[in-house]
Amino acid sequence: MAEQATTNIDSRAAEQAAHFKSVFQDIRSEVTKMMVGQPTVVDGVLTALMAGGHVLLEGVPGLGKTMLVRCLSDAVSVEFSRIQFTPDMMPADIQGTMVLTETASGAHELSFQEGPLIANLVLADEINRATPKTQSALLEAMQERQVTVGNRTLTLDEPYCVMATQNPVEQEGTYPLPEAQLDRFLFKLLVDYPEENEYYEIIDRTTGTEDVEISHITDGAEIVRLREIARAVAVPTTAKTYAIRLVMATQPNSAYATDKTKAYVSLGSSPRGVQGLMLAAKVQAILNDRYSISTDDIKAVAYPVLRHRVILNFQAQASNVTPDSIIEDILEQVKLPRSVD
Amino acid sequence: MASLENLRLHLDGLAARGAGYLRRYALKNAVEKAMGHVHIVALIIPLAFVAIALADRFAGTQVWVLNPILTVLLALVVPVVYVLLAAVFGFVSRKVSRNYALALFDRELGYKDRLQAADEFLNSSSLSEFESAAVADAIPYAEKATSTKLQDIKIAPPAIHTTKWGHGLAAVVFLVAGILVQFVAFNPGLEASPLIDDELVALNTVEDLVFEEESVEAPMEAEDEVQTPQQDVSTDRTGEGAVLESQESKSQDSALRKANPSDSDPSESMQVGLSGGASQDNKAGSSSSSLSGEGDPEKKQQESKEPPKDREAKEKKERPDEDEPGDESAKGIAGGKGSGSGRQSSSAEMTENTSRPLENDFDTGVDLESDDEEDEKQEATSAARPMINQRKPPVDRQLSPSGMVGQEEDERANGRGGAGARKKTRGVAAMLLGVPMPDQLRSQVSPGRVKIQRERSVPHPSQVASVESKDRGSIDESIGKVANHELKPWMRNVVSNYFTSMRQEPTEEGE
Repeated sequence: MAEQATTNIDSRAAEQAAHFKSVFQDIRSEVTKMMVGQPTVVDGVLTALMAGGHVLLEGVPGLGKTMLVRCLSDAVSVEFSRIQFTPDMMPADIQGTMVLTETASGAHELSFQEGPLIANLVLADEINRATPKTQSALLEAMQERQVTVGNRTLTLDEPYCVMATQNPVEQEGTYPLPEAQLDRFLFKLLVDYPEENEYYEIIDRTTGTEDVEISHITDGAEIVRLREIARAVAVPTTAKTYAIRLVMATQPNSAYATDKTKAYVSLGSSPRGVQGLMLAAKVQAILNDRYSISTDDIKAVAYPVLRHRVILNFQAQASNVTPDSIIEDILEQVKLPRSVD
Repeated sequence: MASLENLRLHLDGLAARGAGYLRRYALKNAVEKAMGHVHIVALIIPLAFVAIALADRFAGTQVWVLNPILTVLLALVVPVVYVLLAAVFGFVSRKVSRNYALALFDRELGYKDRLQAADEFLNSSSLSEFESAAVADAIPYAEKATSTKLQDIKIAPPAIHTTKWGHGLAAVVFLVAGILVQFVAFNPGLEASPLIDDELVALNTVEDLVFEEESVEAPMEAEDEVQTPQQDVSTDRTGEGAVLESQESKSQDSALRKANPSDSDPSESMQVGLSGGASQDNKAGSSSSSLSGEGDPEKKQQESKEPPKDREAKEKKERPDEDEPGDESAKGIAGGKGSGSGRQSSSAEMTENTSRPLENDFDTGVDLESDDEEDEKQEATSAARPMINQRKPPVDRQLSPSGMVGQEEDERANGRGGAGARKKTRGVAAMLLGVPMPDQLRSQVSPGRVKIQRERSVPHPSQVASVESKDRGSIDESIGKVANHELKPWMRNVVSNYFTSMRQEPTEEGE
């Protein structure tokens, strides 16, 4: 009887995992109808969406960051809003504000006008062009899933995902994101130039007469359910230990800090880094047909989860040391819990 | 349920296999690590052996006298024991947990931690859906892992690099060197070889000569001072004591010649040498007794009447070292010494013991000062001729410099007894320059001091033809008519035709 129950549970978990994987792949295939190449970025965005995190896309203009998010919103069929950040933008412009409206009876009253931040999928385009004051308006929404305007607090609907883009080249007139906000992004994905063969596809898809239509694969409720499936993935102690060691290795004063970390890192990852590693690794485990995460899953998501959480010092910037090189060193240095020396 | 029990059994078996495998791996690592250092360990015993042998040889420490064979065995055994100990320590110290053992299969077979996770979830009380799924997922992998054989761990002999061979060779060389050093150190026959003795004597001679030269180099006035004692002695001998002494010595010489007619026999040169030395000793004893007035004339006569064989026997008793049958070189040296002493006795000038070894040195051409000193010691210790009788009390105990003048001062001023008007130089080195001596050391003539000669030159005025400025040409002045180098029209035509034809030729070829 117990074995039968176990078998039933197994089959349920297997079904959930299979469903998760199929939806994930369907969304990916829809997005890739429009988005040429960049498989890592597409998978990263979808993984963050399934894990319940936010994504910061960084790349030079013209690489399709905004288009990727728009395609995703089309495929998922959730409420989508886009905020084009500018230096003169105020928090009320994105959160919403009380406006004086006229009622049907001709009277006037103050009513709350929601800002673009209140949606399921928010594209914060060129987020670093907004002032820190405006950027900080995102903090509550991203972490607490709520927006407070005056004495009114609005709870945001799930799924809620902020996908921000920023340009690493144009630094004039921009405001780098504060560490507190960076930490709230699950992934930071670097959008690079396409490969040579991908340019042919880009030309054919974007300069021809055919319009690419993105069909709706799923909706917000399904995304929420998929997130629950992802969170249900089992985590063995080995994976936990390894994730903890990785995060601690980014902290210069920890016992697992590498020499490079001690030399070049001024601020390491917060516990949000471990949470991000676990959540993203769970999605990876399901995608790899497993019901428990392994250290390989953690390794696979270590770069996008940790690279914006490692704050380099001046010496690193002078030496052209990048966060990715720090993470690479950490992955090499930190031993697996099972490792035999 | 049965499948879960099967999974548990499989995991148990895999854990046991993995633990054994990891222990072997640890053993292999330990052996490899030890083998990486064994060439250094192999050097320890030979180096220690060489160091101890050298210390025994040169410092005479006698720290550790080790049998060479035992040392070689020790040098071979120590590295082996080191490797064995390292292997045992590595094997014992490796603690392999169950998780580690299962992780080995996960890693080697690429199971992505499935076995570890299943083992962990199996031991938990309540399983979630995904944990149960993970356990069920691990069942086929565990069965597959059970039937899979891990890659054999071979503890192969390490690759010995050239440097390691070098260490091994160095160890062998050190061993051999240590054995050789120890063999030389504890084999006195090698050290006391006649050849080495001769070389040492020659070296001593050279060193003494160098030392003497250095001592003589000091003030050149010492030359005069050195000759003064001899003159003093001769002047002293002009007195009554000297006459008596010369008479006695002559009578002793004649008595000796009568008693020992074989002096002139060249075939018995060795014995002559010895007997000569003996006679010299006798003379010294007799002369000293005559000078001091403490000797017994009857006893002297008895001694002089003693047959030479008895004297030789006495001498042998007194100097057992020189009478060793195999020490012919020593005999030869003694023979040379004897001839020198014979001459001294004939000249009857040998009244002081200090002058004797010098003349011996010059006659033989070899420094035998050490042998003479031994003779002196033997004479001093001899009961028959105590040297105490020959000793003179310190002449001048009076420390005032103006105490004596003239001959009295020269007589007493022998360098002893504190401040005198003129201090005399004593010793062999100071007397060397009084006797012609061939150079024993080759040297080069010094180039002398570098002299810088300065010549004074007085500047002389000279007349130079001066040119007036008005006679010089102006810079802006025209240079005059210059020939026109422009090409003439026919020349231009020739050049243009040439280059035109050159350009046309390739096109024609191309066509």
